[in-house]
Amino acid sequence: MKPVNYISSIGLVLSMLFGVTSSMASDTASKAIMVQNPHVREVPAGQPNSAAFMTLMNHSGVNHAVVSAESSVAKVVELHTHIKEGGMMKMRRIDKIDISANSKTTLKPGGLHVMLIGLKEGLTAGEKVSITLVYEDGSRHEISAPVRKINMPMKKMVH
Amino acid sequence: MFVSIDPQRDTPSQLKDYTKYFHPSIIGITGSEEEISSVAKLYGVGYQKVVQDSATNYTVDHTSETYVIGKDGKLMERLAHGTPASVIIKSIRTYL
Repeated sequence: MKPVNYISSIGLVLSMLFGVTSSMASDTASKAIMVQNPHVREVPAGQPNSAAFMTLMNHSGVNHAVVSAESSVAKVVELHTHIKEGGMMKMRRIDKIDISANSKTTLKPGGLHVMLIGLKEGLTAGEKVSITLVYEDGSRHEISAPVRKINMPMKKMVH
Repeated sequence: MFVSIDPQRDTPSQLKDYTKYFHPSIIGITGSEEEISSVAKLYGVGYQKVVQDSATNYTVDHTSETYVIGKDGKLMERLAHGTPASVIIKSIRTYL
């Protein structure tokens, strides 16, 4: 009886070790990405859309990307960016937001943002909006983003 | 005064709510496509409607400068999109 018990406990230890190493080698994006300072723009009554901003930090050695987002406060959620081209401000839908290995990507007014289209109700400062980020490997990350009044929409000017 | 170049989306009552949100003294205004186009030309404002694959259906590309106009109606300064409030205040005080 005793030798059999030894063998099975060694087997258990080995499988635990394997479990730890394999999860370190292939962490899901949702585990590798840290979301900082998420917030949603407060919008005036009657405005159909708003946007969410945040900083995405990739602490792993693997490139990751947000490929879509979901939220119950809006009918549709898309990934958008603003580009300035030929003196014009252009807002465009994009397929993904990249977060390169060991770097960060900042979503901010005038640039990358998660667009909340067709708001089901008004968004007032102090409320919290639940947003789920979906990464390229299918992993998901639900965040709670407070609604804030954002007065200054853009980057600082250099004179 | 805030002139919307998208009369399809921005009705006068929506504009009222929108401008009131930023300051009660701001007046929201829009018009027919022809009227907006002629005013835009006077100001050197450029815009174009772009249809894209998005639930927003279309987006309006636009120039985004703020014009500082003097008491005599002359253009004094053009401020780029995103100019900090402190710079805007300084500019307004210069021409008051």
